[in-house]
Amino acid sequence: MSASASPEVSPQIAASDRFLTDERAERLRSASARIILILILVAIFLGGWEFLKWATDAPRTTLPHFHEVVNYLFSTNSQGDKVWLDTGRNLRLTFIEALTGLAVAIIAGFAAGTLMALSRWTGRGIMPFVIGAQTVPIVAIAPALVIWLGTGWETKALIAGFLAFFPIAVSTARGIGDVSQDSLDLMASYGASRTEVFFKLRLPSALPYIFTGLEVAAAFSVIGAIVAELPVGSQDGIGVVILTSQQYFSLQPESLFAAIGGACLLGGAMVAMVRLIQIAVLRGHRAQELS
Amino acid sequence: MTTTDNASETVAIGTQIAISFEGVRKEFGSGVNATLAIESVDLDIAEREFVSLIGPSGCGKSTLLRLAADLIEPSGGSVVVNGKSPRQARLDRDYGFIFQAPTLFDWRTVWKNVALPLEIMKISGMSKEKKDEEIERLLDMVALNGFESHHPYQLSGGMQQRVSLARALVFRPSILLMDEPFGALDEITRDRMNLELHRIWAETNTTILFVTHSIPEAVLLSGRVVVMTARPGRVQEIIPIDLPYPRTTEVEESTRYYELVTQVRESLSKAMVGGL
Ligand SMILES: Nc1ncnc2c1ncn2[C@@H]1O[C@H](COP(=O)(O)OP(=O)(O)OP(=O)(O)O)[C@@H](O)[C@H]1O
Ligand SMILES: [Mg+2]
Repeated sequence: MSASASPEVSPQIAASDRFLTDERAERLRSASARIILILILVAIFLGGWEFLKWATDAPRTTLPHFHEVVNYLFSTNSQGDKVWLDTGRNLRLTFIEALTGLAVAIIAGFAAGTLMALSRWTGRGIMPFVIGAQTVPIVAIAPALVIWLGTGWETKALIAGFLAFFPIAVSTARGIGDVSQDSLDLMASYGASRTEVFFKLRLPSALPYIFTGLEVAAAFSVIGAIVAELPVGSQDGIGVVILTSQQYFSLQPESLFAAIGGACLLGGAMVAMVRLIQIAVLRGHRAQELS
Repeated sequence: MTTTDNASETVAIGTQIAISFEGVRKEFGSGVNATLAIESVDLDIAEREFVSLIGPSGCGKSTLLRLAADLIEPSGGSVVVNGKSPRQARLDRDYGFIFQAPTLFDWRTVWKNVALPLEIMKISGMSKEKKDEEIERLLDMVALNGFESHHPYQLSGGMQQRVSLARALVFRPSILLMDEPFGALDEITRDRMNLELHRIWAETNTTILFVTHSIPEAVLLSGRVVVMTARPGRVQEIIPIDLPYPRTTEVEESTRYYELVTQVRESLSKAMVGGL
């Protein structure tokens, strides 16, 4: 598939190379190449879907046509709402849960990571908790948390944040701790204070690391929010939609695929958002660390 | 301030001691892993003096510089900088340190890299305009005008090291500690930077302690060349360089210059043998 796709892309890239030479054109070129790549991937995905359906001769109740899923999105549900509007509403709630969790995780993870990197004793004290955050099987304990804390969105945000915490803490610790001895000596030779060393050396040099962790955390926050919605008792959210669609799968198989698609888009949007912020913040950093 | 022209008569070495090493010993690590880097170094460097340190790799040249800079502490003996402890001298911003690697901050532009010491030092009575003027003057001096808004990774190694030189000079320290600053540069750039450094030294009241691997460079620039033995480092010999000032290409072609280069080379090869 990809072998047949590449001849379509490369002549265009080669041609534009000759005309566009400055940095902005370079960025434009890579952006348009990326869009073409995305379009090709979408085509491959849809082609693969329909091919699979045709090859296995799957009935609608196993795998509907893609256009049937799209049609379903524009139909009206039993409450008289447009399905896409209803899905959007649920996605919005899950998004808020994930975003709140991510925000909390950024604050807590940054603080924990900084302490781990800079303070020998406090750092050692919180290390087990950070390791714990990674190894706790959140899928298993989410139902218990929902029982203890209720089915409100805050509980789901907490679980989302819990999952997002670890990658942020670890990447912050690594970034803040990873500065060259020469750089530290340089700052010392200016008689710089610890605060100055932190804000003028450690933090800026850690930013590329932190953003790498943040990207993982963004994806984790969405997963955490959806997992937190699955236990029975929750009313809204894309996780609930997935669960109920599964129950009515034989009647309305399109709804499950629509819900899964929505969840994927949400995760993608969250990661894309972090990427955009990263590009804006790290404009001055090494170009290679951006890509 | 003297100009290059009358520097020939007035490269007056001060009578005050800028840096003094007395019985300095430095051991890294402990137990079986202990490395004796420096064993009893005695060396006085006068104010306004230009002294080169030369010696086999690993003999403790960088260590000596870092001791003077209070980046490490001696295991024995004493180091005095401008009549103070190295720590006090560091906090008083008495010296500028130039590392083997340029050590620039990638997220800062060339301009902002040079401005870094001024940001931290908050030098009183220096207006923003004055600072900008100074940065501009120094970037001019190291021939980097036009690159103010470039980032370090967009520059060649030589250009990066020139930024680091400008950064060390921007706050006008009275002492420059330079650790093979031009080691990575091509010969042409290196010669230019050497002459430039020599001019700065002659025009200002700077004391320079300069580590190098190049014998001709050491002879051309210095008032004295200190040859060190292989590890553990000691002072093998101090060779006064009685060449006239200013040091130009003419000086480089004189017989005396060749004699001195030979003298340093012989001393250095003795130092190598002594260490083996
Ligand atoms: N932080 C350290 N920990 C342990 N040993 C060290 C440390 N720094 C230096 N040494 C040792 O001390 C000795 C002297 O090192 P130093 O860097 O001063 O040598 P140098 O003369 O500058 O060598 P070069 O010319 O190669 O730069 C070396 O043997 C080195 O292994
Ligand atoms: Mg060295």
